[in-house]
Amino acid sequence: MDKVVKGPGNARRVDVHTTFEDINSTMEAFIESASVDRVYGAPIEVGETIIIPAAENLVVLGFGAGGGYGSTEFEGDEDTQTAGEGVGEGGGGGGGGGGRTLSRPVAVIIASPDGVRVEPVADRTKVLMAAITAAGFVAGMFFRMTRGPRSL
Amino acid sequence: MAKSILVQQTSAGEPVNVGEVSVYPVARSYRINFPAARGGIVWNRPLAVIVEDSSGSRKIIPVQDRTRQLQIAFLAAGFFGTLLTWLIFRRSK
Repeated sequence: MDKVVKGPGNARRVDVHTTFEDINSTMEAFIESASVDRVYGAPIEVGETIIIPAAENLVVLGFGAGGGYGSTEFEGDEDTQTAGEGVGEGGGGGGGGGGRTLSRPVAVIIASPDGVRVEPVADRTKVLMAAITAAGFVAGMFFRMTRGPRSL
Repeated sequence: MAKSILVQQTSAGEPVNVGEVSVYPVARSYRINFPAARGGIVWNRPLAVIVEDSSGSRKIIPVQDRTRQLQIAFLAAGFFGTLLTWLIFRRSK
């Protein structure tokens, strides 16, 4: 993946250009994930009825990379790796990335000889969490407002 | 040319044939590009299905996200309930 170039001694240099090319190609694949194929699954045949699942998905991706290399004049012998005056090699590189994919079923499309209908799928856990959050805010405000004044 | 930060795209998939009816799934995607950093966000969601019969007439059936609707309803109720509680019980200073 990375083009490593050997320098004098044990010095190595990482070609950041190749790294950025790999990052760009990954980003292109990520951008292409904005597609209808990611939303609707393969149709499932049950007798004369076809069921198509539909889901919502969210993809978050980000990364970066960087590198550097430096050297000074070298007056030694590169072949025998003997030290000379003014020998100095330096190099560094780093990179990092991260991403997350979230998917959630939304509905199923049921197509039969009688017709086509869309059946929504409700996630009970998420709805309950939203209800508890809302109730918590209301209860919190209620207890705060009905609490007596604080004594100094 | 500068990349757009927010891109919205609506696309239809391959039709599924059921008898004399063809079902076209339609989805919408939102893409946020981070111009400074290499990254972004892609959000895909189902939008509707287009049902086309043998005579060529089309019907659009929207795909409703019941979970999201209920979440928004409960959170909005919580917000307004909190506001109402504060208005009812607030004491004049």
